[in-house]
Amino acid sequence: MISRHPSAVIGSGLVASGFLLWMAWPFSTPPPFPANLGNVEVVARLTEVPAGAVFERELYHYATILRYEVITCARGKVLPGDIIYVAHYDPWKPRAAAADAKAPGIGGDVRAFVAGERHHLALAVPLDDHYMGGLVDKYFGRRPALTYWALRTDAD
Amino acid sequence: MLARANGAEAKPLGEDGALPWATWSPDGRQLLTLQPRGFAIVDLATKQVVRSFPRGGFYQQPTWSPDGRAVVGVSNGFDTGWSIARLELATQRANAVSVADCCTPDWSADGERVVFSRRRPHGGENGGYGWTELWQARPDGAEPQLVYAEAGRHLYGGHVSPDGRFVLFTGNLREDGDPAHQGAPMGLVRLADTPMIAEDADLRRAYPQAKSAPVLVLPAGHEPCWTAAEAPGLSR
Repeated sequence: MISRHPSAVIGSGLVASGFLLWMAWPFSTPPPFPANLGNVEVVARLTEVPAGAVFERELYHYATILRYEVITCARGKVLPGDIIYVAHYDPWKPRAAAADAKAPGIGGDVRAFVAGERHHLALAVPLDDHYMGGLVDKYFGRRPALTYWALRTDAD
Repeated sequence: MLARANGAEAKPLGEDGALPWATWSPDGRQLLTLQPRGFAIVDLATKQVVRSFPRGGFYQQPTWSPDGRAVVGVSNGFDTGWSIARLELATQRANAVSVADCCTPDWSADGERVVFSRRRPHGGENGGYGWTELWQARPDGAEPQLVYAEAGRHLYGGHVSPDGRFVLFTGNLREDGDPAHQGAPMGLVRLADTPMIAEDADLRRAYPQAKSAPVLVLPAGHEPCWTAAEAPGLSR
């Protein structure tokens, strides 16, 4: 019969915990945005970019709805694993160049929306409080009504 | 601003930007306005908000119906970014009138039709943007029908005459309305002549049954509105 010393068990537990923390580290520690930047802050994975959701259009600005899976949440009532729908203004532009009079105060360092990439997002809800304009919604009729407005979109 | 129909006695109704997208109630006693936080109905005499409610995706150009029960406007709540939709004020239920790229909706005087601008799916004309045409439909979206189309000019701001016989509109050569704030020639067509087109091979292919009828070209203007009286001094 083989028995293990309690210190070995504790040591193994510490190693396992450390490993898990190390695994989680890249997902959970982007420098936080200012606390007054929206009312939700998450790291989330862009699950897809539907065909026709992002197109270049100099006139008639629009926002497009993109689908994210939440990885971590720093602020707001969102849980890891939740699917959220986020409106990005003039999504064909780099985030740093997207703000204008219709959508002031948006930004970030993401240059293009690529399916599978992780974004550090500062979001605001409800959308109607923050955006009055055209919307491209490839999930129309197939998603919950709650839509987040992307204020800041950084690569994670 | 509030002014007489001839432009006299213009005066601001509030601070700059205070009553965006204001539209008259049928009795002229209230204004419905549209802001990011929602619709607000303002009593004109007291300037007090008497009712407010969520805008549910409506974002520009609301117009109160002649019977006071509904509003049409541009909405982002119906799949396309620029839909025309009707909102019932009592229930706040909305329905799409047209989900192509649309704008500048208005009511016929009897409330039975909505006239609006609609961008037809196109073959790449105008740098890929196509041209905007005048259309009409019933307020529930039924019976959509072309009113008038031209190649090479956008038609915006359709407004039906009080007797329902004519439609007034703006003809913009450029995109995005009137960017230089100079207006563009207005036009007038008889509804009895519609659906009609300015003769063009592509338009004829798109609308083989359309008539070719006269358009009265009017001076430059932007988003015209017909007065309630047919001529100064006459009752409605």
